[in-house]
Amino acid sequence: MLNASNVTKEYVSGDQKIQALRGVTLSISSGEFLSIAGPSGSGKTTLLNLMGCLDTPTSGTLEFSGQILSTQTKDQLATLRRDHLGFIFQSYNLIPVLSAWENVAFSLDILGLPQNEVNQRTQEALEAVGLKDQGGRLPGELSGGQQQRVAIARALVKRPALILADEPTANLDSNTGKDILNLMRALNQKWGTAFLFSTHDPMVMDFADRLILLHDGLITQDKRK
Amino acid sequence: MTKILALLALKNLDRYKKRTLITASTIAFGIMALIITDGLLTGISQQSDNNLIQFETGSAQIRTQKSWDEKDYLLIRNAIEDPEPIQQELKAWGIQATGRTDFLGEMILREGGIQTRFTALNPETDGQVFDLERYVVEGEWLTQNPFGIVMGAWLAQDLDLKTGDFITIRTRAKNGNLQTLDLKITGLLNSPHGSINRGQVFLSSHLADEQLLMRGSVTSFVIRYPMGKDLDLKLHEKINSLIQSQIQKDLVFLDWRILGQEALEIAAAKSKGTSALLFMIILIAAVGIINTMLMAVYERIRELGTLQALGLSPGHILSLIIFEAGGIGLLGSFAGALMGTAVNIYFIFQGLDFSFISRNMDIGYRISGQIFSSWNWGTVVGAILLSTFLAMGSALIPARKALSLEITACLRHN
Repeated sequence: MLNASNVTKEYVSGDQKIQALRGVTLSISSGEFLSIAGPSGSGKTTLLNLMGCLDTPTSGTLEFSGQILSTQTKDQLATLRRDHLGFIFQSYNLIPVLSAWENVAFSLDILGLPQNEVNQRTQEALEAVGLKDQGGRLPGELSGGQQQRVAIARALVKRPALILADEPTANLDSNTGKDILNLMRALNQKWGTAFLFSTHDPMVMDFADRLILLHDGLITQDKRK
Repeated sequence: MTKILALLALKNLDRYKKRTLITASTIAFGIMALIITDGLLTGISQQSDNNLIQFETGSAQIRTQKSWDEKDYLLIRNAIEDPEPIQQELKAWGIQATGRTDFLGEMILREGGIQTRFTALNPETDGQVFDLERYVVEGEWLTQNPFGIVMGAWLAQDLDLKTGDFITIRTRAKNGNLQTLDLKITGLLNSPHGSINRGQVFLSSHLADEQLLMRGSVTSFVIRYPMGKDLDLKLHEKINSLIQSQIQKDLVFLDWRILGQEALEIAAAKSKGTSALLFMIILIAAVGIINTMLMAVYERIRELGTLQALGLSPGHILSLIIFEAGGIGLLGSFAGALMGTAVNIYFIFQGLDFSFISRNMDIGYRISGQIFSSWNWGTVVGAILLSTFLAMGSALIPARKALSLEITACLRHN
């Protein structure tokens, strides 16, 4: 589904060039549940951004379902994200003016689905994350764990091929974090959606079926359970 | 997608209520000022044009070319020698007309002389063209009394004169000889035309015929068009043919727009000046929108990154920001239009007392006291559209700023 071949990413900060990724080669298949781990500055977020079509590599090739990402325009990449990818952010990134329901439904609204389908799928997604009675609340009225559940529902509701989660439990206490991971695992099994999440938390690493270790912009280990 | 973005824009405007209302108020103030000023200017201009015709120029005049060329000197020797055949012909066509003789004279007072503008008119026919008689506020309008005069009430007030007083004037008769006349003030006039109230003296044409040796001749032959302000082309040509058939060959036919050109030019210049001022108000409002939207964009950089991550294209983000700015523009312009129209309605029906300026100063407009605003729906609709589109256009600057950032940079933003 997603292939990265010898991908590098270089940032310029002042006079300095920073090599965030130094030749990463990786393949992700449908329905996988994998985590990328490594210390801060190892390139986890950079790799996630590239795979999520949010950024472009300095060199190397990224391919999603047969499409070479570097040849796509900004609008084409936006369409690809809208149709096939879901995101879960460390700090949830819900739209503050939209209720939990509206945040989830937004992902479907922009797909142009009919309203009855939007309503039905939004209801299902909120039920799946255990928030069917909290739909009318604004993000500011929800706890961190609840907000992350809404973010998961928002990512999942459009049934994407892949959900990218950047340290999804980093801002949550350990119990809530465990709940969220269990939820992601259950949804992965129920919907068949691939999950790729970055972490440096050993508990999170244990949850994944496949663990990729990243160090100084290079993959040092790719281990399947 | 447009509906979704519009709804999101509305919710964002609601989120920043105070800021939205403050910026919208700036626009509302600008639009309100535009509508009120435009209404008053249009009203003043219409009143001024009407007063010009009703009290100063008539609809058109027949004069000698020389009298028109030397109009500032008001020389009575440049007269139409025999206006009778013209008057008879116009009367037959159903056109109201009257002869007038304008001249300058020196009013001799205890303190010294004062240059004054005099108009000798025929009391029997003048009322068919001009509308002065009903504005006599003291005494009576001109009669056959050859030594009675009617003067502007402000002039009388300034010179401490009243009805019944005698004044002495010195002027030149048609043959060039100096003539001194003792005349009795029989009436005072307070018309809607400020210049008349401030410095005009009227007397009977019989007096001019006898004492200034006019003997039936007049310096202008003034016509009142049958309807409205414009004469149809055929009648215009007919009058031109009529004056060309006269023995006196240097006669010209002049429309009120030519006769009052100076006044109309002043009004047009004032209108342009006001437009420039209003443009500045709108510009300030536009800066307000840019500032508001820039603040909104800076505060929501991460949110804009999230929206792009969810699949909105740069075009969608641009539309969202433009919708928000357009919303502020629409809110402000509608509020401004409502307030402006409400104030305008008051000025249309109640008017505004302008005499504190027009009493002592000639501002170019032919007005004196109460001025009334005018309906200006074109300006109202135009102002709403202009400010809404201007607001949307102003959003391009903050939108460009938002779109210049990489999505990843937006998502990292705190």
